[in-house]
Amino acid sequence: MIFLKKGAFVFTIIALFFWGCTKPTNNIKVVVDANVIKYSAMINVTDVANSSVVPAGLTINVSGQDADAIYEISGKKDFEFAGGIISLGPSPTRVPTESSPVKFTVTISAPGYTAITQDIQINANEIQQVVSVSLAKTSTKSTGSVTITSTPPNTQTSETSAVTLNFTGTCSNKSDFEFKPSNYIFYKEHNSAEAYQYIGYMNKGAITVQLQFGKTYDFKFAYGGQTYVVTQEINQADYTETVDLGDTLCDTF
Amino acid sequence: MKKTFLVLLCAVAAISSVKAQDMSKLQSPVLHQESFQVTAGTQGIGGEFIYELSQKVAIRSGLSFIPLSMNNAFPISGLNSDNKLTANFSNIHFLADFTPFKGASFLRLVGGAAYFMQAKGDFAVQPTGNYNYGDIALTPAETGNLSLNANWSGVAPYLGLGFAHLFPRHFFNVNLDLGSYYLPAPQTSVVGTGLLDGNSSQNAQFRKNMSGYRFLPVAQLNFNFKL
Repeated sequence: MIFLKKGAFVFTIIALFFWGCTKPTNNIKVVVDANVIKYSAMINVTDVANSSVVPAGLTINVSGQDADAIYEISGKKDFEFAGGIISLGPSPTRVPTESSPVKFTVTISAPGYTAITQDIQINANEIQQVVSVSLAKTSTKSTGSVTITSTPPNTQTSETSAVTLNFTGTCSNKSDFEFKPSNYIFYKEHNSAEAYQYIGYMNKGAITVQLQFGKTYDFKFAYGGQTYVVTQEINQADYTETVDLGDTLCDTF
Repeated sequence: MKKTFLVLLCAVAAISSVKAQDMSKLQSPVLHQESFQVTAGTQGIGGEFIYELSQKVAIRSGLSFIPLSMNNAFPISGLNSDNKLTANFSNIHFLADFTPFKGASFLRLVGGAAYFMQAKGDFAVQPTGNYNYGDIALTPAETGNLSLNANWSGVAPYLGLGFAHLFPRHFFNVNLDLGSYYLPAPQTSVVGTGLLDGNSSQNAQFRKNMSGYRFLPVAQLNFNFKL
Protein backbone atom coordinates (compact mmCIF):
# COMPACT_ATOMS: atom_id res chain seq x y z
CA MET A 1 0.00 0.00 0.00
CA ILE A 2 2.80 2.36 0.89
CA PHE A 3 4.28 1.83 -2.56
CA LEU A 4 1.02 2.86 -4.21
CA LYS A 5 0.97 6.02 -2.10
CA LYS A 6 4.53 6.81 -3.09
CA GLY A 7 3.65 6.06 -6.70
CA ALA A 8 0.69 8.44 -6.57
CA PHE A 9 2.95 11.11 -5.10
CA VAL A 10 5.50 10.70 -7.88
CA PHE A 11 2.74 10.73 -10.48
CA THR A 12 1.40 13.97 -9.02
CA ILE A 13 4.84 15.58 -9.13
CA ILE A 14 5.27 14.67 -12.79
CA ALA A 15 1.78 15.89 -13.62
CA LEU A 16 2.67 19.22 -12.01
CA PHE A 17 5.56 19.58 -14.45
CA PHE A 18 3.02 19.91 -17.25
CA TRP A 19 0.32 21.76 -15.36
CA GLY A 20 1.76 25.23 -15.71
CA CYS A 21 2.54 24.94 -19.39
CA THR A 22 0.71 26.91 -22.02
CA LYS A 23 -0.23 25.30 -25.32
CA PRO A 24 2.66 26.17 -27.69
CA THR A 25 0.30 27.68 -30.26
CA ASN A 26 -1.75 29.64 -27.72
CA ASN A 27 -2.62 33.08 -29.18
CA ILE A 28 -0.34 32.43 -32.15
CA LYS A 29 -1.88 33.84 -35.31
CA VAL A 30 -1.14 32.61 -38.78
CA VAL A 31 -0.18 35.84 -40.50
CA VAL A 32 -0.99 35.83 -44.20
CA ASP A 33 0.72 38.40 -46.36
CA ALA A 34 -1.75 39.61 -48.98
CA ASN A 35 0.89 40.98 -51.29
CA VAL A 36 -0.03 38.48 -54.01
CA ILE A 37 -0.74 41.02 -56.71
CA LYS A 38 2.54 42.85 -56.50
CA TYR A 39 1.98 45.19 -59.44
CA SER A 40 -1.22 47.20 -59.53
CA ALA A 41 -3.01 50.30 -60.71
CA MET A 42 -5.53 51.94 -58.42
CA ILE A 43 -8.38 53.66 -60.22
CA ASN A 44 -10.14 56.42 -58.32
CA VAL A 45 -13.26 57.81 -59.99
CA THR A 46 -14.95 61.07 -59.09
CA ASP A 47 -17.34 63.56 -60.66
CA VAL A 48 -15.44 66.14 -62.70
CA ALA A 49 -17.67 68.88 -61.31
CA ASN A 50 -17.22 67.89 -57.65
CA SER A 51 -14.35 65.67 -56.55
CA SER A 52 -16.15 64.70 -53.36
CA VAL A 53 -18.92 63.05 -55.38
CA VAL A 54 -18.55 59.48 -56.59
CA PRO A 55 -20.76 58.69 -59.59
CA ALA A 56 -23.39 56.13 -58.65
CA GLY A 57 -23.53 52.78 -60.43
CA LEU A 58 -19.92 52.75 -61.57
CA THR A 59 -18.89 49.82 -63.74
CA ILE A 60 -15.59 48.89 -65.33
CA ASN A 61 -14.76 46.70 -68.27
CA VAL A 62 -11.25 45.34 -68.72
CA SER A 63 -10.00 44.48 -72.19
CA GLY A 64 -6.73 44.40 -74.11
CA GLN A 65 -3.78 42.05 -74.52
CA ASP A 66 -3.33 41.15 -70.84
CA ALA A 67 -6.98 41.36 -69.78
CA ASP A 68 -7.12 37.66 -68.91
CA ALA A 69 -4.30 38.09 -66.41
CA ILE A 70 -5.86 41.09 -64.65
CA TYR A 71 -7.51 40.65 -61.25
CA GLU A 72 -8.98 42.92 -58.63
CA ILE A 73 -6.46 43.34 -55.80
CA SER A 74 -8.29 40.78 -53.64
CA GLY A 75 -7.58 38.24 -56.37
CA LYS A 76 -11.11 38.24 -57.71
CA LYS A 77 -12.22 38.40 -61.32
CA ASP A 78 -15.31 40.37 -60.31
CA PHE A 79 -14.50 44.01 -60.92
CA GLU A 80 -16.55 46.04 -58.47
CA PHE A 81 -15.93 49.60 -57.37
CA ALA A 82 -16.04 50.45 -53.69
CA GLY A 83 -16.54 54.14 -53.02
CA GLY A 84 -15.25 54.96 -56.50
CA ILE A 85 -12.08 52.92 -55.96
CA ILE A 86 -10.83 49.74 -57.57
CA SER A 87 -7.29 48.37 -57.76
CA LEU A 88 -6.31 46.07 -60.60
CA GLY A 89 -3.17 44.13 -61.34
CA PRO A 90 -1.73 41.07 -63.04
CA SER A 91 -1.65 37.64 -61.46
CA PRO A 92 1.69 36.50 -60.00
CA THR A 93 2.39 34.50 -63.15
CA ARG A 94 2.30 37.61 -65.36
CA VAL A 95 5.23 39.67 -64.20
CA PRO A 96 5.93 42.80 -66.22
CA THR A 97 9.39 43.04 -67.73
CA GLU A 98 11.19 45.80 -69.55
CA SER A 99 10.50 44.17 -72.87
CA SER A 100 7.01 43.03 -71.97
CA PRO A 101 5.03 45.48 -69.84
CA VAL A 102 1.53 44.54 -68.77
CA LYS A 103 -1.02 46.30 -70.95
CA PHE A 104 -4.76 46.46 -70.61
CA THR A 105 -7.60 48.87 -71.29
CA VAL A 106 -10.34 49.94 -68.92
CA THR A 107 -13.68 51.42 -69.86
CA ILE A 108 -15.37 53.17 -66.96
CA SER A 109 -18.99 54.15 -67.11
CA ALA A 110 -21.83 55.20 -64.88
CA PRO A 111 -25.47 56.01 -65.62
CA GLY A 112 -25.77 59.66 -66.65
CA TYR A 113 -22.03 60.02 -67.25
CA THR A 114 -19.93 59.87 -70.39
CA ALA A 115 -17.83 56.73 -70.33
CA ILE A 116 -14.05 56.97 -70.44
CA THR A 117 -11.71 54.43 -71.99
CA GLN A 118 -8.12 54.45 -70.83
CA ASP A 119 -5.08 52.34 -71.71
CA ILE A 120 -3.05 51.29 -68.68
CA GLN A 121 0.51 50.07 -68.85
CA ILE A 122 2.37 48.55 -65.91
CA ASN A 123 6.11 48.61 -66.36
CA ALA A 124 8.70 46.45 -64.65
CA ASN A 125 9.84 49.25 -62.35
CA GLU A 126 6.34 50.52 -61.65
CA ILE A 127 4.88 48.59 -58.75
CA GLN A 128 2.04 51.01 -58.01
CA GLN A 129 0.29 53.74 -59.94
CA VAL A 130 -2.76 55.88 -59.33
CA VAL A 131 -5.23 56.50 -62.13
CA SER A 132 -7.48 59.44 -61.24
CA VAL A 133 -10.55 59.47 -63.44
CA SER A 134 -13.02 62.34 -63.54
CA LEU A 135 -16.29 61.53 -65.24
CA ALA A 136 -18.47 64.21 -66.73
CA LYS A 137 -22.23 64.09 -66.78
CA THR A 138 -23.77 63.65 -70.21
CA SER A 139 -26.05 66.58 -69.49
CA THR A 140 -23.13 69.00 -69.29
CA LYS A 141 -20.61 70.25 -71.79
CA SER A 142 -17.74 69.27 -69.50
CA THR A 143 -15.38 66.55 -70.55
CA GLY A 144 -13.89 63.90 -68.34
CA SER A 145 -10.19 63.56 -67.65
CA VAL A 146 -7.61 61.00 -66.60
CA THR A 147 -4.42 61.64 -64.62
CA ILE A 148 -1.86 58.92 -63.93
CA THR A 149 0.80 59.24 -61.24
CA SER A 150 3.15 56.68 -59.80
CA THR A 151 4.34 58.48 -56.67
CA PRO A 152 2.26 59.15 -53.57
CA PRO A 153 1.38 62.77 -52.81
CA ASN A 154 3.63 64.73 -50.50
CA THR A 155 1.53 65.60 -47.45
CA GLN A 156 4.41 66.86 -45.34
CA THR A 157 4.04 70.35 -43.86
CA SER A 158 5.59 72.18 -40.94
CA GLU A 159 2.69 70.91 -38.79
CA THR A 160 2.93 67.22 -39.67
CA SER A 161 4.99 64.40 -38.23
CA ALA A 162 5.80 60.93 -39.46
CA VAL A 163 3.31 58.37 -38.19
CA THR A 164 3.47 54.64 -38.87
CA LEU A 165 0.23 52.76 -39.15
CA ASN A 166 0.22 48.97 -38.93
CA PHE A 167 -3.00 47.49 -40.26
CA THR A 168 -4.02 43.97 -39.32
CA GLY A 169 -7.05 42.31 -40.85
CA THR A 170 -8.95 39.81 -38.70
CA CYS A 171 -11.58 37.26 -39.59
CA SER A 172 -14.31 36.47 -37.08
CA ASN A 173 -14.74 33.02 -38.63
CA LYS A 174 -11.01 32.23 -38.54
CA SER A 175 -9.76 33.09 -35.10
CA ASP A 176 -6.19 31.81 -35.66
CA PHE A 177 -5.76 33.94 -38.75
CA GLU A 178 -4.40 37.44 -39.41
CA PHE A 179 -4.19 39.22 -42.70
CA LYS A 180 -1.59 41.83 -43.63
CA PRO A 181 -3.12 43.94 -46.41
CA SER A 182 -1.11 45.51 -49.19
CA ASN A 183 -3.29 48.22 -50.65
CA TYR A 184 -3.79 51.89 -51.45
CA ILE A 185 -4.77 54.04 -48.45
CA PHE A 186 -6.96 57.11 -48.53
CA TYR A 187 -7.53 59.53 -45.71
CA LYS A 188 -9.47 62.58 -44.61
CA GLU A 189 -10.08 64.38 -41.39
CA HIS A 190 -12.79 62.74 -39.33
CA ASN A 191 -16.24 64.30 -39.91
CA SER A 192 -14.84 66.43 -42.71
CA ALA A 193 -17.02 66.99 -45.78
CA GLU A 194 -13.92 66.84 -47.96
CA ALA A 195 -13.31 63.93 -50.28
CA TYR A 196 -10.90 61.17 -49.28
CA GLN A 197 -7.39 61.83 -50.55
CA TYR A 198 -4.89 59.20 -51.58
CA ILE A 199 -2.03 59.18 -49.06
CA GLY A 200 0.10 56.16 -50.00
CA TYR A 201 0.46 52.44 -50.38
CA MET A 202 0.65 50.18 -47.37
CA ASN A 203 2.98 47.27 -47.86
CA LYS A 204 2.20 44.16 -45.81
CA GLY A 205 -0.01 46.21 -43.54
CA ALA A 206 2.49 48.98 -42.81
CA ILE A 207 2.58 52.56 -44.03
CA THR A 208 4.38 55.66 -42.78
CA VAL A 209 2.63 58.94 -43.52
CA GLN A 210 2.74 62.59 -42.53
CA LEU A 211 -0.10 63.55 -40.17
CA GLN A 212 -0.89 66.25 -37.64
CA PHE A 213 -0.81 65.29 -33.98
CA GLY A 214 -4.03 66.03 -32.14
CA LYS A 215 -6.21 65.48 -35.19
CA THR A 216 -8.50 62.56 -35.86
CA TYR A 217 -8.43 60.95 -39.28
CA ASP A 218 -10.43 58.40 -41.21
CA PHE A 219 -8.33 55.94 -43.21
CA LYS A 220 -9.92 53.96 -46.01
CA PHE A 221 -8.96 51.14 -48.34
CA ALA A 222 -10.97 48.90 -50.68
CA TYR A 223 -10.92 45.16 -51.28
CA GLY A 224 -13.29 43.10 -53.38
CA GLY A 225 -15.90 45.82 -53.76
CA GLN A 226 -15.92 46.67 -50.07
CA THR A 227 -14.44 49.63 -48.26
CA TYR A 228 -12.82 49.41 -44.86
CA VAL A 229 -12.55 52.53 -42.74
CA VAL A 230 -10.50 53.01 -39.57
CA THR A 231 -10.73 56.14 -37.43
CA GLN A 232 -7.75 57.15 -35.33
CA GLU A 233 -6.81 60.20 -33.30
CA ILE A 234 -3.10 60.82 -33.80
CA ASN A 235 -1.07 61.47 -30.66
CA GLN A 236 1.94 59.20 -31.14
CA ALA A 237 4.25 57.98 -33.88
CA ASP A 238 3.02 54.40 -34.13
CA TYR A 239 -0.39 52.77 -34.22
CA THR A 240 -1.67 49.26 -34.71
CA GLU A 241 -5.05 49.23 -36.40
CA THR A 242 -7.27 46.16 -36.46
CA VAL A 243 -9.83 45.78 -39.23
CA ASP A 244 -12.57 43.15 -39.31
CA LEU A 245 -12.47 41.97 -42.90
CA GLY A 246 -15.83 40.22 -42.80
CA ASP A 247 -16.70 36.76 -44.03
CA THR A 248 -16.85 37.73 -47.72
CA LEU A 249 -13.17 38.50 -47.94
CA CYS A 250 -12.04 36.01 -45.30
CA ASP A 251 -13.68 33.11 -47.11
CA THR A 252 -11.61 33.74 -50.21
CA PHE A 253 -8.46 32.48 -48.45
CA MET B 1 -0.27 8.95 -21.12
CA LYS B 2 -2.25 7.79 -18.08
CA LYS B 3 -1.86 4.18 -19.19
CA THR B 4 1.88 4.63 -19.48
CA PHE B 5 2.16 6.01 -15.96
CA LEU B 6 -0.09 3.29 -14.60
CA VAL B 7 2.16 0.64 -16.13
CA LEU B 8 5.22 2.38 -14.73
CA LEU B 9 3.70 2.64 -11.27
CA CYS B 10 2.78 -1.03 -11.30
CA ALA B 11 6.35 -1.79 -12.32
CA VAL B 12 7.63 0.31 -9.41
CA ALA B 13 5.38 -1.49 -6.96
CA ALA B 14 6.35 -4.90 -8.30
CA ILE B 15 10.06 -4.20 -8.43
CA SER B 16 10.10 -2.61 -5.01
CA SER B 17 8.13 -5.45 -3.49
CA VAL B 18 10.52 -8.02 -4.85
CA LYS B 19 13.54 -6.00 -3.75
CA ALA B 20 12.14 -5.50 -0.26
CA GLN B 21 11.97 -9.24 0.08
CA ASP B 22 15.53 -9.53 -1.26
CA MET B 23 16.79 -7.08 1.34
CA SER B 24 16.30 -9.55 4.12
CA LYS B 25 18.73 -11.84 2.33
CA LEU B 26 21.29 -9.14 1.68
CA GLN B 27 23.86 -9.48 4.39
CA SER B 28 27.31 -8.75 3.01
CA PRO B 29 27.43 -5.91 0.49
CA VAL B 30 30.12 -5.90 -2.15
CA LEU B 31 31.74 -2.53 -2.79
CA HIS B 32 32.89 -0.90 -6.04
CA GLN B 33 30.51 -2.85 -8.18
CA GLU B 34 30.04 -1.92 -11.83
CA SER B 35 27.11 -2.36 -14.11
CA PHE B 36 25.78 -1.24 -17.46
CA GLN B 37 22.18 -0.51 -18.20
CA VAL B 38 20.15 0.03 -21.32
CA THR B 39 17.64 2.81 -20.73
CA ALA B 40 14.24 3.46 -22.29
CA GLY B 41 11.78 6.14 -21.33
CA THR B 42 10.69 9.69 -21.85
CA GLN B 43 14.20 10.91 -22.63
CA GLY B 44 14.48 8.22 -25.28
CA ILE B 45 16.80 5.30 -25.40
CA GLY B 46 20.39 5.15 -24.27
CA GLY B 47 22.94 3.49 -22.10
CA GLU B 48 24.66 4.14 -18.78
CA PHE B 49 27.76 2.94 -17.01
CA ILE B 50 27.42 2.76 -13.22
CA TYR B 51 30.12 2.62 -10.57
CA GLU B 52 29.57 2.15 -6.88
CA LEU B 53 31.56 4.56 -4.72
CA SER B 54 30.23 3.38 -1.37
CA GLN B 55 27.32 1.48 0.07
CA LYS B 56 25.23 4.65 -0.17
CA VAL B 57 26.59 6.40 -3.21
CA ALA B 58 26.99 5.41 -6.85
CA ILE B 59 27.76 7.46 -9.91
CA ARG B 60 26.71 6.89 -13.45
CA SER B 61 27.21 8.50 -16.84
CA GLY B 62 25.52 7.82 -20.09
CA LEU B 63 23.95 8.96 -23.32
CA SER B 64 20.33 9.28 -24.32
CA PHE B 65 18.62 10.34 -27.46
CA ILE B 66 15.07 10.58 -28.67
CA PRO B 67 13.61 11.41 -32.07
CA LEU B 68 9.86 12.03 -31.86
CA SER B 69 7.29 13.17 -34.36
CA MET B 70 3.55 13.65 -34.27
CA ASN B 71 1.26 14.62 -37.12
CA ASN B 72 -1.47 17.24 -36.72
CA ALA B 73 -0.84 17.73 -33.02
CA PHE B 74 -2.30 21.26 -33.03
CA PRO B 75 -4.94 21.92 -35.73
CA ILE B 76 -5.12 25.55 -36.87
CA SER B 77 -8.56 27.06 -37.28
CA GLY B 78 -9.23 28.59 -40.68
CA LEU B 79 -6.11 27.30 -42.37
CA ASN B 80 -6.33 24.05 -44.32
CA SER B 81 -3.01 22.62 -43.36
CA ASP B 82 -1.07 19.66 -42.14
CA ASN B 83 1.24 20.15 -39.23
CA LYS B 84 3.99 18.03 -37.82
CA LEU B 85 5.54 18.25 -34.40
CA THR B 86 9.06 16.84 -34.17
CA ALA B 87 11.41 16.72 -31.21
CA ASN B 88 15.04 15.71 -31.19
CA PHE B 89 16.80 15.45 -27.85
CA SER B 90 20.20 13.94 -27.17
CA ASN B 91 22.28 14.32 -24.05
CA ILE B 92 25.29 13.12 -22.16
CA HIS B 93 24.58 12.97 -18.45
CA PHE B 94 26.37 12.50 -15.19
CA LEU B 95 24.31 11.42 -12.18
CA ALA B 96 24.89 10.44 -8.59
CA ASP B 97 22.63 7.99 -6.76
CA PHE B 98 22.30 8.34 -3.01
CA THR B 99 20.60 5.65 -0.96
CA PRO B 100 19.45 7.51 2.17
CA PHE B 101 17.70 4.73 4.05
CA LYS B 102 19.43 1.52 4.89
CA GLY B 103 16.08 -0.13 5.42
CA ALA B 104 14.83 0.99 2.03
CA SER B 105 17.81 0.48 -0.22
CA PHE B 106 15.49 0.12 -3.20
CA LEU B 107 14.83 3.87 -3.01
CA ARG B 108 17.48 6.30 -4.23
CA LEU B 109 17.74 10.04 -4.54
CA VAL B 110 19.26 10.91 -7.89
CA GLY B 111 20.89 14.19 -8.82
CA GLY B 112 23.21 15.44 -11.50
CA ALA B 113 23.25 17.23 -14.79
CA ALA B 114 23.20 16.66 -18.49
CA TYR B 115 24.60 18.46 -21.45
CA PHE B 116 22.01 18.50 -24.20
CA MET B 117 23.90 18.50 -27.47
CA GLN B 118 20.55 18.65 -29.19
CA ALA B 119 17.26 19.73 -27.67
CA LYS B 120 15.05 20.98 -30.44
CA GLY B 121 11.35 21.06 -31.04
CA ASP B 122 9.96 21.99 -34.43
CA PHE B 123 6.34 22.64 -35.33
CA ALA B 124 5.96 22.75 -39.11
CA VAL B 125 2.77 23.88 -40.82
CA GLN B 126 2.20 23.16 -44.49
CA PRO B 127 -0.97 24.51 -46.15
CA THR B 128 -2.74 21.74 -48.01
CA GLY B 129 -5.03 21.40 -50.98
CA ASN B 130 -5.56 23.94 -53.71
CA TYR B 131 -4.97 27.18 -51.91
CA ASN B 132 -6.44 30.25 -53.57
CA TYR B 133 -6.07 33.96 -53.22
CA GLY B 134 -9.48 35.03 -54.45
CA ASP B 135 -9.76 33.41 -57.89
CA ILE B 136 -6.01 32.95 -58.26
CA ALA B 137 -4.78 29.41 -57.67
CA LEU B 138 -1.51 29.57 -55.79
CA THR B 139 1.35 27.16 -56.10
CA PRO B 140 2.64 25.52 -52.89
CA ALA B 141 5.76 27.71 -53.17
CA GLU B 142 3.65 30.88 -53.40
CA THR B 143 1.55 29.78 -50.43
CA GLY B 144 4.65 28.90 -48.43
CA ASN B 145 4.97 27.16 -45.11
CA LEU B 146 5.51 27.97 -41.46
CA SER B 147 7.96 26.65 -38.92
CA LEU B 148 8.06 27.31 -35.17
CA ASN B 149 11.27 26.23 -33.52
CA ALA B 150 12.40 25.97 -29.91
CA ASN B 151 15.91 25.08 -28.80
CA TRP B 152 16.85 24.16 -25.23
CA SER B 153 20.43 23.05 -25.92
CA GLY B 154 22.83 23.46 -23.01
CA VAL B 155 23.40 22.23 -19.49
CA ALA B 156 20.41 21.07 -17.45
CA PRO B 157 20.39 19.91 -13.82
CA TYR B 158 18.54 16.74 -12.92
CA LEU B 159 16.72 15.65 -9.78
CA GLY B 160 14.72 12.53 -9.27
CA LEU B 161 14.08 9.27 -7.53
CA GLY B 162 15.41 5.85 -8.40
CA PHE B 163 13.59 2.66 -7.61
CA ALA B 164 15.21 -0.77 -7.23
CA HIS B 165 18.88 -1.51 -6.98
CA LEU B 166 21.49 -0.17 -9.33
CA PHE B 167 23.56 -3.37 -9.05
CA PRO B 168 21.89 -6.70 -9.73
CA ARG B 169 22.45 -9.38 -7.13
CA HIS B 170 23.03 -11.79 -9.94
CA PHE B 171 23.38 -10.89 -13.62
CA PHE B 172 20.34 -8.74 -14.44
CA ASN B 173 17.63 -6.61 -12.95
CA VAL B 174 15.29 -3.80 -13.90
CA ASN B 175 15.15 -0.49 -12.12
CA LEU B 176 13.27 2.72 -12.62
CA ASP B 177 14.04 6.44 -12.69
CA LEU B 178 11.45 9.13 -12.14
CA GLY B 179 12.53 12.75 -12.16
CA SER B 180 13.10 15.74 -14.33
CA TYR B 181 15.70 17.82 -16.05
CA TYR B 182 15.38 21.59 -15.73
CA LEU B 183 16.22 22.80 -19.21
CA PRO B 184 17.72 26.16 -20.18
CA ALA B 185 15.25 28.84 -21.28
CA PRO B 186 14.36 27.99 -24.87
CA GLN B 187 15.49 30.06 -27.80
CA THR B 188 12.61 30.34 -30.24
CA SER B 189 12.03 31.37 -33.81
CA VAL B 190 9.09 31.58 -36.17
CA VAL B 191 9.95 31.42 -39.83
CA GLY B 192 7.55 31.60 -42.76
CA THR B 193 7.90 31.56 -46.51
CA GLY B 194 5.67 32.70 -49.36
CA LEU B 195 2.44 34.28 -48.12
CA LEU B 196 3.39 33.26 -44.59
CA ASP B 197 6.68 35.16 -44.45
CA GLY B 198 5.24 37.79 -42.08
CA ASN B 199 4.96 35.33 -39.22
CA SER B 200 8.22 36.24 -37.54
CA SER B 201 6.02 38.80 -35.74
CA GLN B 202 4.57 35.88 -33.78
CA ASN B 203 7.91 34.94 -32.21
CA ALA B 204 7.36 37.04 -29.07
CA GLN B 205 4.09 35.23 -28.32
CA PHE B 206 5.65 31.86 -29.14
CA ARG B 207 8.59 32.56 -26.80
CA LYS B 208 6.12 33.51 -24.08
CA ASN B 209 4.14 30.30 -24.62
CA MET B 210 7.28 28.20 -24.49
CA SER B 211 8.80 29.92 -21.45
CA GLY B 212 7.08 27.41 -19.13
CA TYR B 213 8.51 24.44 -20.95
CA ARG B 214 11.63 24.06 -18.82
CA PHE B 215 11.04 20.65 -17.27
CA LEU B 216 11.84 17.51 -19.20
CA PRO B 217 10.23 14.74 -17.17
CA VAL B 218 12.08 11.46 -17.01
CA ALA B 219 10.19 8.22 -16.50
CA GLN B 220 12.63 5.58 -17.51
CA LEU B 221 13.01 1.82 -17.24
CA ASN B 222 16.58 0.63 -16.97
CA PHE B 223 17.63 -2.88 -17.97
CA ASN B 224 20.68 -3.43 -15.85
CA PHE B 225 23.52 -5.90 -16.45
CA LYS B 226 26.18 -6.58 -13.85
CA LEU B 227 29.73 -6.26 -15.12
